[in-house]
Amino acid sequence: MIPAEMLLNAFVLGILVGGLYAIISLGISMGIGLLNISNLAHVGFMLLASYGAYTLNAEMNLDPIVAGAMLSPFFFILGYALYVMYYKVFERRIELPGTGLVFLFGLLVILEMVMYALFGITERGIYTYYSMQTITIGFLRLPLRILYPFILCFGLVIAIYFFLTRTRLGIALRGVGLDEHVIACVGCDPLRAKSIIFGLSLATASLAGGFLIAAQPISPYSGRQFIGIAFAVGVIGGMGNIFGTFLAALLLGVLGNLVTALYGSIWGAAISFMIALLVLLIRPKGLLRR
Amino acid sequence: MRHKKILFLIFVVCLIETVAAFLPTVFKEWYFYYAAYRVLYFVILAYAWNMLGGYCGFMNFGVGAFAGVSAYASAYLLKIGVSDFLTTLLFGVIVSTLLGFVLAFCTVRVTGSYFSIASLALTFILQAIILSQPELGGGGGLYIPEPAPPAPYTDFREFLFVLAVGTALVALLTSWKMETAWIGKGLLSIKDDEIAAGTLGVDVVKLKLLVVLISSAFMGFIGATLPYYVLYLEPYSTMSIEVTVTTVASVYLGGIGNFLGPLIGGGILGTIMQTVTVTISSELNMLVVGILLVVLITSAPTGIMGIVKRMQGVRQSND
Repeated sequence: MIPAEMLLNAFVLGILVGGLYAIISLGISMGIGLLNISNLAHVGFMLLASYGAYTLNAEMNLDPIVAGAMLSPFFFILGYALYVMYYKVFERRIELPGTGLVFLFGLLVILEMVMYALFGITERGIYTYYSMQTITIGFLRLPLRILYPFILCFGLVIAIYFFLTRTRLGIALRGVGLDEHVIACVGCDPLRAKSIIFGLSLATASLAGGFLIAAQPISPYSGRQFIGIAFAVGVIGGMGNIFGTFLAALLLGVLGNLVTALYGSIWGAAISFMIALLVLLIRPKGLLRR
Repeated sequence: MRHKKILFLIFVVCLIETVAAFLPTVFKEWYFYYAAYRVLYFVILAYAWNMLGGYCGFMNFGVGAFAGVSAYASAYLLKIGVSDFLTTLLFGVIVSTLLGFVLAFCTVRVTGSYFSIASLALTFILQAIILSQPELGGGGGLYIPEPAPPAPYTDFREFLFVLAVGTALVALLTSWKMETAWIGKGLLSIKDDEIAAGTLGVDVVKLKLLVVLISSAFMGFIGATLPYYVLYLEPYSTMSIEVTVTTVASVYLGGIGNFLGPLIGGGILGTIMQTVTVTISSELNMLVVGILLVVLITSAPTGIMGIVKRMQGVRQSND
């Protein structure tokens, strides 16, 4: 029997890891929910930001989380430009549905291989002053390298939630996901709104990249394991539902960590994936969607 | 007229298969069969992918998972002592078809992009599972004893070559039927407008599931022969997205949604890869194929067959 203390620790660690899952899944979930694009290359961009943070850390001794935040404006511009190009090339071509997906898949492969060529297969990590520190509350041990990203992710999700629901621009962005023709009728350029969404999604990828390399060492293929988790989080939380995504990420973080503690790390991801498939079968719009 | 055309096609197919079956008894060059199987492997996967992606608009990024799970299924049977070729083949097909059915059944009611992302995720999850299972060889890989070749052949790979030729031809006929028969018309209407097709009496869900079953059965069939060919399975190359990228690039090179496209694209790309793979690393190989794929779909998304068709159209309008 595994002691209750260890299970409780796994539980709390799962919540913290869930914060990281949330910020990774948020971009993919926004893409599917608001733009109807499943951005398969999202994790590739995230790792690009991680390697960017790694380089900035090596050159200027920057904190990885700060570096990820500093890179995010560039990723926003990159995403904006990419979506404009994507729209011109693929969205208007209705006779070949799905071509855009193949493009994003090809982009993922190219990104991975470019990172492989630049940084090699060896795992790269950043060691900051808080990398090895833990806060101990009673018998709970909270590693700072996961606690810091969790707190910031929590703040970010709330900020994005309020941005999308309370500001005029945010409401316009959500409107595009519902009906772009109506949005065009009330005098808002749908292409611009969609590009902003995609840019924001890549900006979150950049932040996630900073958090990821702060939490664990990475290799060019590290993003792959997060595709299944992001899919599961998006499906359970409801694609495009910010709060749902956050709750689902915490849920899967806890579940994954408990399963990992009991049966080994492989089954955490596999079980999340199976649950996601079941949820799709029962409630295709997500468990947490109103 | 139509009746005669299909009889003629079946006759040609049988003729090619007979020639292929006798070739190894006359022409002894083991590398030819070795390379030809590899090329045909990608041709068949491209056919299977095209049935789903080209006719249905369902993008499957788990080709490596479908073919790989079947390869592992047949290899596992071999390992536990079932050495009957047909049984292992059938088991592989069943496992891969089942996988395709479950994945499609869960995602068929939402938009196609869910299927795509789920199939991609599946590749990595299955890879991780196999890596953790010592019964399946884990990361070290699974060795398969070389089977004895059936009667007229001296090498098992000669037999596999004949089998692959036959499978490719059956895939070609199936694709051709899918374009021309009722199923093709239904699929075309789904691709154009799913909701409109549904209201006009096309059973969208059933038709999509049917195509998923056929497609994953083909992937499973050729995947199940893989352990007999490589005699050593390891998860990194079997369950990789490299297989998927090559397959998808083959389809787009030849021409998506055309029954000759996969044959042309898979033939060209497979042959090139078979010749250069010795000289360049597999990562560089993948980078080149990935760039080729992205360039193709942005500049010439209809592939070689699309260009040929357009040229035919120009010639006809000039006459």
